[in-house]
Formats: sequence, structure tokens, C-alpha cells
Amino acid sequence: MSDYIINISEDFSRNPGARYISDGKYSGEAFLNDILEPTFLKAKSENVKLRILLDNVIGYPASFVSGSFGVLSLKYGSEIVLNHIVLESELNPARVEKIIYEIQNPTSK
Amino acid sequence: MSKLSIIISIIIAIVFFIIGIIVDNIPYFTLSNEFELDDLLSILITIIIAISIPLYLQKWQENQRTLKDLVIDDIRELLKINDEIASKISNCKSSGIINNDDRKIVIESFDKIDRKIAILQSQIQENYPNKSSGHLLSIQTISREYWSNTTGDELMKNQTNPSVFSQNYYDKFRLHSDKFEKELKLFAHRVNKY
Repeated sequence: MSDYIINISEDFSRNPGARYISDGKYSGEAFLNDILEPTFLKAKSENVKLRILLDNVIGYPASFVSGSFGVLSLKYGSEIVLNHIVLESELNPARVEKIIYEIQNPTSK
Repeated sequence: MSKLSIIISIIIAIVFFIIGIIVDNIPYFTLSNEFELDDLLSILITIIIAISIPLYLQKWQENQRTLKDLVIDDIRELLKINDEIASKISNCKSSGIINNDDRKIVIESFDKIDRKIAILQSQIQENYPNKSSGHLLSIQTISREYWSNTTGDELMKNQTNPSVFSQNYYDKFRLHSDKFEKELKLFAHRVNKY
């Protein structure tokens, strides 16, 4: 079995938006529901990695990160999420650090 | 050769000259009128050392200054990005409107801050490996809290319609922005003392 890959700029948007779908386009909730969670569950059931490519995006608002990765962590637990997800950014490694921090310290809204 | 090097060389030459006179006046020592080859060599080595030590020190000082200037330039750029974010948020507050272009500028600016801090970190690790790790960690933590507070729900909600944020959001924003600025300036002072 090979790893799954999500390239956020190609598979979702170059302009990640707010937390909720009701707040506008390209929300964290939409990303979670349509792409992140289904792919994560496949990777988890097949016991493979889910590589998430974070580059070629203008930047990540905290609300998007919290509404997607944070919620995923609240649902499945940070350990399981971090066991299956591999975050990658050549341009800005701090993006990886911020998302990992959110997974480890998710905030419920 | 700079003025400083010339002055230091002259001082060293005078000091050696005075030592020579003092030694000459001590009765236990006698001076021969003949020059041995190794005496000449000794004088030449002394002169070379007298000239090269100030030159070496000056070069070392210049290199240290250049390294510090590079680090401080990066800190200045971070301060500039912080000012740009503050100006954008302040304009949105006074106009009562935030649109998607404003949001993109703020989000992109925080991304620039991350990249600039990474550059700063690599410079510090390369040139001052035993210093600053605590200060840099503090800047990174403050920066993450600043990003988390500023690009949270208040800025991003109601994207389809222009909206304005609350006084509470603005007050918190100022608090984080000022804290970030203060930490960067403190870091610049610390780097200057290395």
C-alpha cells in the first residue's frame, strides 16, 4: 500500500479561509469534511501515511488550521493523527510547526 | 592601514623603545655594539607582530560588526512587517471595513514573519551557536501566539461580506503586536552585546 497525498494548493485552494463553511469559501470545515478526514480515515484503516503538502499557498489563517487539523485531533486524538499524518513544507517549515502545535493543543470552539 | 592601527603600532614601538632605554640603564645589563643575525631577526619579528596584531584585531572587529549588522537587518525587516500588519489592522478598524484583500495581506505577512525568523535562526545558529536559543524560542512562541490571535475567527469570519472586528479583538491585537515588537527590539540589543 502506498501513502496518500493531499496537496492543499492543488486539491483545495491557494487561499485557505475561515473556520466554518458559513464564514465563506475554502473554510477549515470544508477542507476537513471533503478532503482531510476521508483521506485520513483511508490512511488510518490501511495503516499508511497521509502526506500533506503545505506549499504554494499564500498562508494559513489560525482559524483554518484550528477548524481542520484541530477538529481532526479532537475527534481522533493527537497521537493517532500525528502517527498517520506527515506535514511537509519546503518554503516555510514554521507552517508544519504551527499545525503540529494545533494538533497537540487543539482548541474546541 | 587605518589611523587606529598606525597609532597602536607607534605606541607599541615607543613602549619597546622605552623598555630598551630602561634595560640599557640597568647596570646588570650591558649592550654590545655588534649586531648578531638572530638579534636582527628578533627585531624584525617584533615589528611584524607589532603591526599584525592591530590589523588582526581590526579585521576581527569588522567581521563581528558585519555579522551583527546582518542579524540586526533581519530584525529590522521583522519590525517593518509588524508595522505593516499593525497599519493594515488599524486602517480596517478606522474604516470599519475588512475585505478579502486585507485578510490576504495580513495572512501573507505572518507567513513572511515565519520565513524571516527561520533565516534569523539559521544565522544565529551559524555565528553564535552557544547564545540566543532561549531568546529565539521566546520570539517564536510570541510570534505563534500573535498569529493565532490575529488570524483567528474574528479576522476571518463573514468572508463574503465586508465586516469589522470588535474593540476586544483590536485591544488583543495591539497587545500581541507590542509584545512582539518589544521582544524583537530586546533581541537586537542583546545581539549588539555579543
